Amino acid sequence: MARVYGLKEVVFLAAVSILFCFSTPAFAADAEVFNTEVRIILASNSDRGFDPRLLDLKNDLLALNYMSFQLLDQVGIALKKGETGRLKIPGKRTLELTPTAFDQRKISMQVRMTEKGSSLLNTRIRIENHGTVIIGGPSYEVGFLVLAVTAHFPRF
Amino acid sequence: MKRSRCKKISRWIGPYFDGELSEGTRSLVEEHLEICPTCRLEHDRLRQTGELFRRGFAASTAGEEPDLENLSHRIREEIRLSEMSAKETSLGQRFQEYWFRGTKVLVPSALAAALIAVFIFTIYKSPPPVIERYEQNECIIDSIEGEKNTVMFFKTLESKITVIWISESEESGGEEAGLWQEFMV
Repeated sequence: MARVYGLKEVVFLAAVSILFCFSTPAFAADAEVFNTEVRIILASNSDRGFDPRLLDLKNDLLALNYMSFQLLDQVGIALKKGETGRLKIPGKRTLELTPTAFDQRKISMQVRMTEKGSSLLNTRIRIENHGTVIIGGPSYEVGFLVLAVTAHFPRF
Repeated sequence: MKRSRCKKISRWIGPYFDGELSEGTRSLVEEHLEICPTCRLEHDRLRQTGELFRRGFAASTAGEEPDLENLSHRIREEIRLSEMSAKETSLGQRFQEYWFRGTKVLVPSALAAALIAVFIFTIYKSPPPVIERYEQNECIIDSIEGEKNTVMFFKTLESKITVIWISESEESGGEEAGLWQEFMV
């Protein structure tokens, strides 16, 4: 036999439902924050070996034909759409990352590398969400810098 | 036809209540009371009046001289009060039925459905599309500029990661890169 629900119970359940709805990320404001991770790696033919912190990229890095890879730094940057994040990298260089859009599972990003004010690289790329792109080549110490840039755009 | 039957039976309700009817007539009245709510109501009122009268009389005569003067007043007052409470109950029931008509099951079901829908759309995440490993790191280069450098790009065999290599000079690009030539696009 069905129970008759009082007005108080109905109002309470409705309030709980509404609060639950607004507390969930699906209904929260869309902040469009791109989380970018940059790993600064020194690639060389020295005898320093392979940094265990780079095991996830081991086979890809070894394809660059260097014997030693050392992680110099790892930086995470949270950027809004159109916001430029500037990262100092060894050798008085700067890496600038500007996410511009997220479309069809790909993150559009402007990547610029400068050295002492002059542009080394200026490229516009579209990378798969959670994907990695490697930018390398600038010389540093006994080897070359390799930057592994991974971009995330969390969606609910 | 029904009204005339009720009119006929209603004349017998009083004697029926007093037990003064013949067996046949009593059966007729009983059968009619089972199916006619109007006559049944009249019978119930008659029974209530009798009860009130008996109670009032018993109270008024309990160890004292019977107070017949106030007896009828008390009986009328009791009847008025009992009718008022009956009216309030029916009003309350009607209010509840009107406002929550059909909601005994509808409202809780709707709320439960809403909660489940919210749960499904927010907590449950549909399985990510099957992306082949080589697609996970897919990168499209829309434009590329290098002022004084040679820029090379290729994909690694393992995870198909796009590599953008800046060669600061032609000499260094050829010497340190070693087997680079094989990968140049």
